[in-house]
Amino acid sequence: MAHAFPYTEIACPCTLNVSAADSARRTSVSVPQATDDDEEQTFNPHSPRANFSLYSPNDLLYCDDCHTIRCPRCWIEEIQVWYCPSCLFEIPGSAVKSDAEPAQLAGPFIQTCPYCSWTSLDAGIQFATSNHISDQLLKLRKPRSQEQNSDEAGVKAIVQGQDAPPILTLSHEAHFSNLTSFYKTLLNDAPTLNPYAVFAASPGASAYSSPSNLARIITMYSASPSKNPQKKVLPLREALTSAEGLALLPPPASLGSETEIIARMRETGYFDTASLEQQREAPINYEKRFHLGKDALWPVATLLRTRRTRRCSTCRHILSKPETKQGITKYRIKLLASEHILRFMLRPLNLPLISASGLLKPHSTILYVLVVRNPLFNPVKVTLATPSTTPGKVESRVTILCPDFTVGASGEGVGNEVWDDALRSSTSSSRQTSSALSASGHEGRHTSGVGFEDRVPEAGKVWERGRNWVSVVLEIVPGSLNPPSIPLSFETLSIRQDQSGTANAVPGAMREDSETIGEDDEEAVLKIPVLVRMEWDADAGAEGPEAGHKGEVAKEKRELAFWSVFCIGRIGA
Amino acid sequence: MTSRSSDASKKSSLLPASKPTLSEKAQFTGSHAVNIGEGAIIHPHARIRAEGGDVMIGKHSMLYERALVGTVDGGDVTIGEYVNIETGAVVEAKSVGDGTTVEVNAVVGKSAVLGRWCKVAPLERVEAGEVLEDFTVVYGDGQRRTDKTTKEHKEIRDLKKEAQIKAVQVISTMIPNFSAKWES
Ligand SMILES: [Zn+2]
Ligand SMILES: [Zn+2]
Ligand SMILES: [Zn+2]
Repeated sequence: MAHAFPYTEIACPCTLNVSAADSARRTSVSVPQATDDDEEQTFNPHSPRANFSLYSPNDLLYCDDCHTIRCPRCWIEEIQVWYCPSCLFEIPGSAVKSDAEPAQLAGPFIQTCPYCSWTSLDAGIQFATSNHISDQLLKLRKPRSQEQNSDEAGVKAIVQGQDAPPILTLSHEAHFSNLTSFYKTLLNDAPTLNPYAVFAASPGASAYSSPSNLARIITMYSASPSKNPQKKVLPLREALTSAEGLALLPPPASLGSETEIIARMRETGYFDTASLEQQREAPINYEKRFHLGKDALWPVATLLRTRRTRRCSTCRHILSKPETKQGITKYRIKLLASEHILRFMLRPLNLPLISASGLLKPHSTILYVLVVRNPLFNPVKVTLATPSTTPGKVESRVTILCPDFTVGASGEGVGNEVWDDALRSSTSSSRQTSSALSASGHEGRHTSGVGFEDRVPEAGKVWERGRNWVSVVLEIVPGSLNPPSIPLSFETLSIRQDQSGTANAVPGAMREDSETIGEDDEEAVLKIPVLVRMEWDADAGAEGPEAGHKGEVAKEKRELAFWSVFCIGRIGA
Repeated sequence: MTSRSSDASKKSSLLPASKPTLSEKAQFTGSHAVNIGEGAIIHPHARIRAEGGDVMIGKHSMLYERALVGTVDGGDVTIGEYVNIETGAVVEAKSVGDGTTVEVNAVVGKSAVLGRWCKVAPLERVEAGEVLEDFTVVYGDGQRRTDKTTKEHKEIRDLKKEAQIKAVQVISTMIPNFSAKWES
C-alpha cells in the first residue's frame, strides 16, 4: 500500500456483518461450538477478506438518516450525466440510450479525423445516415466476417510440423464463437466435475428444471465438503485446435510473408502500422499490427465517462452528488464519514526504539500516542477494545492504557478551535503548547521526543486532552516473525491472556507450523484491529452546524460501533 | 497581374485579377511583388513579407490572423489555390501546393516544397528544404502519413474545394475589403 506508516483504516460495518455471518455459517458445520456473537469475533486485518472491507476514512461516506458509515458496497450509484472524455461534451441520457439524434442530411457519410485526416473510407466504411453509427458499423461488419469465413470456409492452414494439427486462422468473430462453443461443450460434458456447470452451460434455462440438477444442488448445499469427500475438481482443459478456438500469435498467413510486410512498411512508413494502443482498443483490432489498406483498423466507439450520484442502499438518501455544471469537479453534496465519526491519528511517543531501517523491533515495547478527534457538535463517549494479541500469524501484544473516555464537542469550524488552543497555551505551561501542536498533527515527531521524557504513561489515564480531542497511549510489543514452534491450544491462549498485564509475558505465536514470515510479507505489517464504540446524545432531528444552539433541543441517544485498523509499521526479522 | 514598386516599407503593390478580400489590418512589407488571386482572403493581422522575393497567393486561399507568409532573404513564395494558412502559422516555403492546409502555429521552413493536398497539423514543423509529396499529413510530433481518402477519391477533393469556396464567400462578407487601397 502506498500509505506511510502509521495510518488507520476503517472497516465499514456493512462488510463486517457480511463476513461475520458468513464465517459463522461456514464454521457451523465443522466447528459447532463456534461463537454466534458476531461482535465479539475479532476482525482480522490480515485475512484475505479484509482487503475488501477496509477503507481509508476519507473514502467513506456517512448516511445521516441511517446514522452509519457507508462504503462502496453499501451505497448505490446513479449516473447523473454522460460526457465525452475528449471534448467534455455532455450527452443527454435519452441520447445515450437510443443513439437517436435525428438524421438531417442525406448521405453518404464518412467519419474523418480532423487531426490526422484518417477517414473511415480508409477502412472502406461509408454510412447511409449520420446517426446510429454503432448499429451501422455492426451491420457492415457482419457480411465482411462472413465473407472472410466463406473463402475456403474461412480458414487457411499453416502447417506446424508433421504431426501437429494445422493451425487455422479465423476472423475475430469466428474465433470467438468457436471458443464459446468449446467452453460450453466442455462444461456440458463434465457436469459432475464442476458442480457449477449447470449454471454456466445454460444461462437461459432454469437451473432447477431437471431433477438431477436439483438433486445436485441440494447435495451442494446440504453436505459440508469435508464430510462428503468428492472427486478432486479437475481443471478444465484449454482449446487445442482452431476449431476449438485456439489462436496463435504470429501474424496470420493472410498478411503474406515477412518480406512482403517489410516491403509494404518501406512504402508506407512505420507510422502507418497500428500502434499497440490501437490494437488493444478493441479485440477486433487486436491482430491489425501490419494490416494496411482496406481492412485496417476498424472504428471503435469512444466510451463515455459518467458523473454519478451516490445513495444509501438502505434508505436511498443522497450521500454525494456532483455539481451538474460542466467542468466543475466539486460536489454539491458530500457527506464524508470523517465529518461524522471519530478521527484517529497515531504518532510514536518514543522514536528511538524504531530502528534506523524503519522496521519495528520484535519483543521491544514501543509506545504510541493515539489522538482521537471528535468532529461532532456533541460530546462523545468512546470505548476502544482490542484483542490483547493481534490476530494473524505474527502475534503482537497491544494494550490501550485508557480505553474509556469522553471527547468534548467540536466547535463551529477550525478557526475557533485554533483560537481555543492558542488561548489555552498562553495561559498554561509550554508543555501544553507543544502538546496542542502535536495533537493537530504538525509537529508530532518533533515534540514527542523532547517534551515528555519526564512523564510516564499511566493505565486508566488519558494522556492529554483538548477541547474536542483526547490522546491515549498504546503500549505495543511487536511479535516475532520467527515464532517458536509450540503447538497452540486454548489453554495456553487463556493463560497468556490472564498474564497479559505483566511485562514478561512472552509475545509471539505458539503454533504448530514454524513457518518463517519474511519482512516483505503482508503478515509482517503490524496491524491492530480496534473495535470503536461511540455513544452520544444527538440533537434529535438535526445534526451538523445548524443544530445545537438553542437551549432545549430534544436529545436522542446514538451509538455507532465499527472496526478500525491501526497500521503501525513493518516488523523486522 | 503583377506590378512592382520601389516602396520598401509597408506598401508593396499588387494587382488582383478579380477582387480578393484584404483586411485593412493585414500587413504587407518588402519591395517585391505580391500577387493575390481571385477570391483569396487575407485576414486582419495576417502578414505578407515580400522582402526576400515575390509572394503569390492562389485563388480561394486564406491567410488567417497572425499567419506569416514570405521571406526576408529566402526567395519567392508561391501559395497554390484552395490553401489555408491558419492562425499563427509561418510559411517560408518555396511553394505550397493546391488544397494544402498549414494548421495553427505550424512552421514551414525556407525553400521547403509542399505538394498538393498536404496537411501540416498544429504546431508541427516542416524543415527548411524538405519536400512533401502530394497528400502527405505531418502530425503527431513529426509523423508522416498519406491521406489515402483524398488521394483515392476525386469526389472528396471536389467536395473540399466546394467547401473552401463557400467558406471564402461567407468570410468575405464579414471582413471589410480594403483591396482597393493596395491596388496600383
Ligand atoms: Zn441510509
Ligand atoms: Zn458498507
Ligand atoms: Zn486521427
